[in-house]
Formats: sequence, structure tokens, C-alpha cells
Amino acid sequence: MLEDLNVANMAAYFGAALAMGIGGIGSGFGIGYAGVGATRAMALQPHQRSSLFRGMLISQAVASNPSIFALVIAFILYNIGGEKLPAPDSIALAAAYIGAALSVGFGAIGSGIGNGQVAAAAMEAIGRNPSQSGRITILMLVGQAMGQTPVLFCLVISLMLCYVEVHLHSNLALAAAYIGAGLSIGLGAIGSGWGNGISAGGAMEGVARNPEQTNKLSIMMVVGQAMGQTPVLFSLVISFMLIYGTADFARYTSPEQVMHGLRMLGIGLGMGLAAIGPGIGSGFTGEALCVGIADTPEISQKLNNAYFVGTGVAQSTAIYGFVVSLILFSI
Amino acid sequence: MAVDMSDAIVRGAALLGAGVCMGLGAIGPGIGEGFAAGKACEAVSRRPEEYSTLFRTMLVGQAVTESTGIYALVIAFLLYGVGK
Repeated sequence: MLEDLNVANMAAYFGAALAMGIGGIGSGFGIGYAGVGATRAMALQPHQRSSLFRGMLISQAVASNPSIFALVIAFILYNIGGEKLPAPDSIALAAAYIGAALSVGFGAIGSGIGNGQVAAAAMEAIGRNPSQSGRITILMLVGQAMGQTPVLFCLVISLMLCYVEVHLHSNLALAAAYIGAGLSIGLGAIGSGWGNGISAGGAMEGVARNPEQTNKLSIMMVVGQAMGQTPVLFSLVISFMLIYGTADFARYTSPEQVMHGLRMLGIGLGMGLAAIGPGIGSGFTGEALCVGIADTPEISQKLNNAYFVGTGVAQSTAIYGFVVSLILFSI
Repeated sequence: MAVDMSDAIVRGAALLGAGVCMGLGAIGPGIGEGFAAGKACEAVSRRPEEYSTLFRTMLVGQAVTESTGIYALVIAFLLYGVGK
């Protein structure tokens, strides 16, 4: 039945659609946010119209980057779909292509929205304090670049899945492991990408409120974004394990393949979903830290303490997810 | 060990459930605790002299928020015990 179908080619074409379809959501939202921020700022500072318009276009160009990564994977999958594959009936290869699409597709959601939120906050900050537009623009670009790290991890995993070497073509457990690898990093990147955008937005607001603290704010923005990326790093580790920890799957009988396949999906979904909340939560904390430092720089030590303890506790659930995934992997 | 198909599906579903349970259960506490910590930072910046009270309240609030995450962890371990 399945042997007569070129499932791998079909999955590659379907994956191309999936990657670009899901991957466009985030940047769509984000580019819209940037426009909202610029329009609000223009209402406050009508004479800054042209510089705000320029800033909006720059920030929108950067915010569309995550969807460009999705476009790259969609093109690669489209080309693979048209190729004559060595094993066109391989279920594992088909799953790897779907996993590649899910990874970059979901991953682009968080970074796209997050980058847009940085852009919106930067435009509003320029509207509030036009004299600092240069500093705010540079800080915005740094914040957006940091916010794209999660989707870059997704791109790496997607490329690995696109060119993975499969030896057990009809092994259901291996197929599920590839889909799980894509889901783990893809879903995990939603939280960190989005959270990074929220915390960088706080730094933009802080510079507008208190430009003298720009140095401290830029350092705390980057530190806050790095803290917010811990959950996606756990996801990356699990994705690598799901791609490379599959050497002994050949010994599974067919009922065992079903059981271990469901286990692989559980590992990927468990880590991926668990990383969403802590990533977004860390973003809220980082935003409040930056605004607090701008308002009351003299107590930044106390704010840092509250920030690090608060974020550390907020990430405990990502650690639970990591532990559960590792335990499920070790069966 | 040899498993038949129905046994394999039940055990696989328990393991999938363990992962999904922990994953979904972690979303709420993660967002909520981060939000609480953010509000604590805001409050410290407004009233620095109340730092120790605010810090304590933040930790207690986060500990209570954590409870649903721990429920999910407990259920995930129970399901793991079924499926392993």
C-alpha cells in the first residue's frame, strides 16, 4: 500500500507549505506591531514623521527575517519534493521533512512577534524622546538580533532534518523521533523569541525615560535576553538527542515501534511546550527590570537581585520539562 | 521483551501523555511566575524601602503559582510508571 506511494516526495511538498504557512504568522503580527508603534509615535511627534517612517521600515525589515528563514526551508523542501529520491517510500524520510517544516515554522512565530514588539516599543520611545532616536535605533537592532537566536536554532535543526541520513526507512519510532525533534525546538523557540522581544521593549522604554542609563540598560537587556534563552537551549539539547540518539532503533519489533514512537513524540512535545511559558515569563520580568533601572537607577542592585531570583524560579517548570523528557528518553 | 500491539499502544499513549502533561502544565506557571517577578521589580522601583517585604511576597506568590507545575510533574511521573 504505502510502498507504491512516494510518501517522502509528498511530505516534502506538504512540508514546504507547512513551513511557510506557519512561519509567516509571527512576522505578520510583528510587522503590524511595528506599524502600530510608528503610527502612535507620529501622532505624538508629527514633525518627526520622516525619521519615524525610516525607523519603521528598518525595524520591519528585521522583523521579517524569521519568516525569511521559513521561506528558505520551504524552498529547500520544494526542491527536495521534485527530486528523484533514493528511497521515495521512506516513512522516516517523510517524517524528517515534516519535522523540518514544523521546526522552522513554529520557531518563526515567537521571534517574529517578539521582533515586532521591540520595534513597536522603539518607535514609541522615539516618539516620547526624539533626541535619543540614534541610541534607541541601535539598541533596537541589537535587541532584535538577540531575539532571533531561537529561530536560528530552529533553522539549524531544520537543515539537519532536511539532509538527514536515514538507514531504517520504515521504522515508525525513528519517524516519530524526527517529528519530535522538530516539535521540541520549534515550540520551544516560541516562548524565548517572544519573551526576548518583550524584555528588549522594556529597554527601549527605559532609554526614552532616562537616557543617562543607556549603558546599564543595554547590558541588562542583553543579560535578560540571555536568561530568557535558557528554555530554548534545553529544547535544542532534546532535539539533538532525538536526531542522534536513534542508532539502536533497528532492534524494535513493530508493536515496539508504535510504543517507542509515541514515546518520542511525548519527549518532543513535553520539552517544546514546557519551554513556552518560562520563555514568555522571563520576558515580562526583563521588561520590568529595564523600566525599573531607568526610573530608579540608584537601587539597581536590589532590582537585579529580585530579577535573577524571580526569573530563576520562573524557569523551574522548563527544568521539570527537561527532566521529564530526559527520563522518557532513557527508557 | 516482547510486547503485543494493544499493550504497546497503551504504554506508548501513557508515555506520550506524560510528555504532553508536563509540557502543557509548564506553560501557565512559567508565564505567571515571570509576570509576578516583573511586578515585584516594578514595585521595588516604586518603593525601595519595602524591598524585603516585596521580595518575600514575590517568592511566596511564585511558590503558590508553581503548584500546578508540580501537579503536572507528579502526573507525568505516574504516567511514566504506567508506560515504562
